[in-house]
Amino acid sequence: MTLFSLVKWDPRCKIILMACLSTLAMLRGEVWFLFGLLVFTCLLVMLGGAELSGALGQVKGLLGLIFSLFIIQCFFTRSGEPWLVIGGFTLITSGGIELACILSLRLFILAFSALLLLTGEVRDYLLALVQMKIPYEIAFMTMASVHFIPILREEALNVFYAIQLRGCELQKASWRKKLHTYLEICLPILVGALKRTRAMALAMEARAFRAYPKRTYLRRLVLKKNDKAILVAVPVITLVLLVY
Amino acid sequence: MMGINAAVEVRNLDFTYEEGPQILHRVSFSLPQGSLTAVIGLSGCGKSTLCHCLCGLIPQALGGELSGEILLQGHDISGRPLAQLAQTIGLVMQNPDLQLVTTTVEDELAFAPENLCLSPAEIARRIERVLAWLNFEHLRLASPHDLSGGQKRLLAIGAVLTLEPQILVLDEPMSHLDQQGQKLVKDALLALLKEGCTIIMVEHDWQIATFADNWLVMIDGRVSYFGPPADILQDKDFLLQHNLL
Repeated sequence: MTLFSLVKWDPRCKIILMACLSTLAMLRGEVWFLFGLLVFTCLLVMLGGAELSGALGQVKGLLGLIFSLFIIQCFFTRSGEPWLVIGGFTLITSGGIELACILSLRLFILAFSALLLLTGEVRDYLLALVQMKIPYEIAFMTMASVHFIPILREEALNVFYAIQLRGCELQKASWRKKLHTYLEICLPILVGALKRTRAMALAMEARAFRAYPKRTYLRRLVLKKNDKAILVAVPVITLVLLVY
Repeated sequence: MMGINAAVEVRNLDFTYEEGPQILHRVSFSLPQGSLTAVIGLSGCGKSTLCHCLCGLIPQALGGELSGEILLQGHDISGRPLAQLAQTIGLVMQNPDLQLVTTTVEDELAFAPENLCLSPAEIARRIERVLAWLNFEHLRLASPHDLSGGQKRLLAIGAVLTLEPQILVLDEPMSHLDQQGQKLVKDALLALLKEGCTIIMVEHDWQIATFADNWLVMIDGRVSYFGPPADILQDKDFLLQHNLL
């Protein structure tokens, strides 16, 4: 079971695995293959040690988007055999259903493969990216943006509540009014984010950020035998599956 | 007041933001080694701007027009890169949430020495020293954002202390803290003082800063008083006139 315990995998293995699963999902276009890939990805997430309840919670937010895209593809793709005809007008075709399934499966695979990263610590992924020769500034900013998403979300909610406390009843408002309100919310959030970024940049400057072209690191990730095997096997298998 | 052994010496400092009003007017003072000075004044009087000048963020990172001289440990700071200055003078900003940029306490403490290209052994030594000083050994892998207000403030101070600066500037270190948090920070500052660190603490609430050796009272960008707090506290008229009481 050690091999499947993603928690013990080197973060570079998880990044490569996620990249390979995403590549396969985007480049292969058969429903049966994508379905198999989705089952495999789900099994990996479950056996790998990711907290399933938390993982499903993360994907739940995407369900609405995937369902909407499924419906749009079903009704607007006009290829293959007609499956549903009403009053002489073809509503759903076999090509539409196939494309909708492919698109939905792809999105599910992308979401679940990203969940593989939940089995590790953010600090380890930062180190992994740096050891994969990604410039520290880019790796740091990637991690910092992930880190700041919940803070921005909280800030947005605060502005949202503040507007409601000032007597703006959004539930009863028209779509036009709602849209106008959301645009008004965006401005303080944007200004807040810019101020936050500036203060953060100053604090980092005061702590010698980019003092030298290179920097040293307290820790270093070391690949174990299993990790090396995974780093070779996963891209090779991906290549084989793409070619055949 | 200009002393040979001054840790910080400021001479005739003027500062104007680009296309803005003049913020600092002929500011001059000299701080002895190992002293704690509280910069007191109302909001907008130029306290934070003075801090940014001392640390070199003005004009290097924030721009503006600066004239006058700033000497740290006897050396003029003009033209010295920020990274080099950071090893002499550390700045702890007002809001710790904006300065804590990593995901664990250990990484937060490692950030600055890593930037200085120190060896992993030296980085580890500095982290251990600060962790022990903060009494944070049990919080090594905790997320900085899960800490209490006082603990966050201490971590922000600790993160700067890993640069081992001789001078420490703190911008309103007690703001938004309850009494327990304020005590934590105050005890930490007094401990630093015992180790010979020179501390400059910006405060708009003078009642918090009564333990300082000296007060530097700023009014509209000018130094109105510099000396022991006991003297100025007797001058009720001055305090009332400038809304400090």
